[in-house]
Amino acid sequence: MTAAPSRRAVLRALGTLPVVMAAGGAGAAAADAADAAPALTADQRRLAFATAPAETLAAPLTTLAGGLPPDLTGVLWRNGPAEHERFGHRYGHWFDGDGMVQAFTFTGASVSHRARILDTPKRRRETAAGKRLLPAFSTLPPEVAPIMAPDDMNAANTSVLAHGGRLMALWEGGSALEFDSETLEAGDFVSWRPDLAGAPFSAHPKVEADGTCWNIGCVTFPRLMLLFYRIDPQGRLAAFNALPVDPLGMVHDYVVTKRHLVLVVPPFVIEPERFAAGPISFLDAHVWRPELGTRVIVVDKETLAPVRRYDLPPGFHFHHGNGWEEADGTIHLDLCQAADPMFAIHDLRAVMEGDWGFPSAHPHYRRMVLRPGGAAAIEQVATAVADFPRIDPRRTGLRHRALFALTGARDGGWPLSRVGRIDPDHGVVDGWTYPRHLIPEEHVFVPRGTAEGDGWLVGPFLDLERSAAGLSVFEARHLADGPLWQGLLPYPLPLGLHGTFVAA
Amino acid sequence: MTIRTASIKGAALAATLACVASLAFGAQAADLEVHIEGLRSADGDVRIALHRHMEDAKFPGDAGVVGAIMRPAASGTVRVIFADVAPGAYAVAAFHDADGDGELAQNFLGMPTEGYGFSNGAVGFMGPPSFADAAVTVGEGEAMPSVSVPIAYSDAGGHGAGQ
Repeated sequence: MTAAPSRRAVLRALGTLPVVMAAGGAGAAAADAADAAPALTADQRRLAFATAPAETLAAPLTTLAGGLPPDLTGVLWRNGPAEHERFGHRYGHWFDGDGMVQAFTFTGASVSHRARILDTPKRRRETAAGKRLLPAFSTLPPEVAPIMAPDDMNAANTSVLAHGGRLMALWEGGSALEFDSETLEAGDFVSWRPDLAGAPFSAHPKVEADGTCWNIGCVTFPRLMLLFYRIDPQGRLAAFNALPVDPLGMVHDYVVTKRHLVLVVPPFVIEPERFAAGPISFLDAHVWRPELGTRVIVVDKETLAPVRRYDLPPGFHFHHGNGWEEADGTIHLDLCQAADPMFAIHDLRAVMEGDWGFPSAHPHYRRMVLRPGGAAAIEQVATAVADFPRIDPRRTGLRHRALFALTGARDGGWPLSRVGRIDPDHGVVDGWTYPRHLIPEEHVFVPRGTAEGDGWLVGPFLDLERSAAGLSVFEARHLADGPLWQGLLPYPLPLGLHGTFVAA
Repeated sequence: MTIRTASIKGAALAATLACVASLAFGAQAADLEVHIEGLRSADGDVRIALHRHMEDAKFPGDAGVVGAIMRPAASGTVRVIFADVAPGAYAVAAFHDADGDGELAQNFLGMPTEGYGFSNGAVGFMGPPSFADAAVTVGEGEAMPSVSVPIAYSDAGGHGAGQ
């Protein structure tokens, strides 16, 4: 008589399944399996940047292994470029494609998925023309139409903000786009004040515990300005200011502390006059000028006026984690910074062709200290590549002890293959490596209880062997144990960017 | 002979003020008929500037303006004539000064919030077109050359004056 094989043995036998165990030790086994796994094929790599299989998608997730926490209920809203190809034209950069909003709905017993390509004014014009027409972040279609305002090319493809009773798809160069929570259909651009219609509203708003929402905007043409928004818990603009900054670097994210907004401006600067010489993409209108160094602008939250400035060595980053300040005004902040912007200029174009060589310098976890007297320092705390940082949102602007990020190495696979917990003082202290054929996306912290770090880490992945998207749930304090639960969808999805969890 | 140069305060896109410019350049001069098309309302005025190419001068800046006309706006098309234009290459810039303040209104981003346009329907990728794209040639002894200037309004950029 043959004994029934263990679940783990079954999973191993299936070969393509991730090894998922709630007990300790499974993570290490999976990491070993990843090292031994065969290299990915070019077709598999291209799947990560293929167009979503349909404009609207909906399906339940099938449990691969583990069990869902019954008290994990709510919706993980996500966004990302998902229409990389249309009318026979393929974009040349990860960040170009039209956005697709997604909802992963957790009931405590199951997870279901809905998604829809956002039919922005930009996309509707292209539909009417029967071809790609408008410029994208890094790509110009062959017969590019001029734009009169930033929202003419707004792809609404970067993140989601749930605030003041509204759901908004965020881009970087233009307005937030409202969308419907049930149908996911695109609504109108959000105008925070009549005279601010069309003003850039960035993709990393910060919501504090009292419900106040902060954001920035980066105006790159024809004027060069940083915008600061304070939005009250009801979703109304409470304060606004615009600060001319010339030259202006690409500013994707920032931090809030108890009393300040802190903007770190990398010396990857836009030269608007390049647009006058003929059609050129937004990315290509930027120039790496390391001699300018990294400029830090500290803005008072009450007045929205700059109060301190710092100069630091050059570097390029998209993302911060958190920022906080001591009683004496010393500011600490996280950033995922690379030596230069070549990974964004080159490597994130190459991936569109299935090239995962990643020759460029990649972001690492660093922390910055800004003293009130003008001294400033930056140090690399962790040696691993790190990006897509998230914190326990209850610590926004307050001292934090945990940062969750995708980490990894440039070893021929996807360089952000590990989900990790970083202690700002000690580097990566916990983590779990996805098998080589599973590509993790941003993992979001979902709070439970009251203590910092008490909660789950929730994030999607793409299974390149099964051509299917999936989702993992981790116990945030025990990442090395591997996922508590993993589920799989019956269809693939291209790698997305950012999201937010809204508890039920 | 009188050539009036319109003063354009800081506006990158068009001319201001002025009455009909008289451009008597001699016997071969022609009248240039300009059709300002696509005006959304009869609010305010239409301001039209005739430019010549100027080396080292940014189109459509002050330096190249050789004539300027203002007319009350009308829904649809407004027709004006630049009289006695000497043979050569010209470009026309126009805007719908719906609030009648003499300036091309801009939002705080610097994007025009009043309608504007250029001869040949020329458009820049971001910002104004080149002189060459907007250029029309007035030949010798031509009866009545005409050029159309379609006015475009930005809907995404703002809903300020003129909407």
